[in-house]
Amino acid sequence: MTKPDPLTPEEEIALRALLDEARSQEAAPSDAFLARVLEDAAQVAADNAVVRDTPTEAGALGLLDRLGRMFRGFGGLPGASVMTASVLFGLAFGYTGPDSLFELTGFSDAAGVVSELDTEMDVFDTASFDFGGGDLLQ
Amino acid sequence: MLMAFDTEPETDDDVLIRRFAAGDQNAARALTVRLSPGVLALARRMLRNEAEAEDVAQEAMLRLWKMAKDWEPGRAKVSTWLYRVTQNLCTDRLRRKTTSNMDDVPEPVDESPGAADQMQTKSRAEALTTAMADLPERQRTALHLRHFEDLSNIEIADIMDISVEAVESLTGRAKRGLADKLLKHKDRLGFTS
Repeated sequence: MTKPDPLTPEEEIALRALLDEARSQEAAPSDAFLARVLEDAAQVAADNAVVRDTPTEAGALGLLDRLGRMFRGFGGLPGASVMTASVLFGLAFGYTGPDSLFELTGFSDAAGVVSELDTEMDVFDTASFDFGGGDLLQ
Repeated sequence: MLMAFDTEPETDDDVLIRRFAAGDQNAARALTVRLSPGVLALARRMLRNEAEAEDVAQEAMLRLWKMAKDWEPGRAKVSTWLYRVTQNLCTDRLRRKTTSNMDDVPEPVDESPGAADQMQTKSRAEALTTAMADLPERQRTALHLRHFEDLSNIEIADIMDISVEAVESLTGRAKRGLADKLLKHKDRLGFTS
């Protein structure tokens, strides 16, 4: 590939002047465009906030394990299981979205969650217990 | 005007990115005012279509927002990263357009006057823009980044993923091409110095 002839100083000055002039006349972004960019930023910030404020998976599983052991430890809740604890944990800590709840419980659809809740709530209706400092569901 | 000025000119892009990742919308505003004009200008220069340029610039800024939480300060300049994303998005779009149009769409008849003819009736800046549009894509991109965005050859090399020597060659060829097209008409351009 042959090298282009370099510009003469006069050409360089003239071209630079044209470039500078064109640069000074570039249109600024429209308000509508800037608003769309900021809307995107706000949406991403909101999404990030959800992730930031949500317990991590490891933390959630740790809590579930503790809840499951606690329920079993009461002895008065024969049907209570880690699965029940998972559902309760989901409700209590705001995992109300189906995807999150399924992820926590292992159920693949809402019917499974509802069925498990119905069964286990019967147990809770007849049980009386104190978690030592407050009701988990409040 | 929604926002005319960078309200935090003393604050580094890195700092603003970290603040945005922590939820600070003022940081997003400052970054938008600071960075989006250059991103949009590059997209306009490459795509030569305002609507497409805005789409690409918005997408590039969206990618900035999304990667903010993983940004590693000092690894690269935010603006360099953003120009690179913009350039890649534009290149992808141009490539798709070429591929999809090549076989079944006839070449549009360009009835607009050429750069030389426009000089009498349009401003010098418009004549330059028209002449730049005729440059090969990479020459146009390199020249734009050098002279419109004030980037160094090293930064341009990083953005375009080429050597500094290749940048110098591209800008040299671009300037020669522009000079050949425009400066022989400088009297008609009203350029007297």
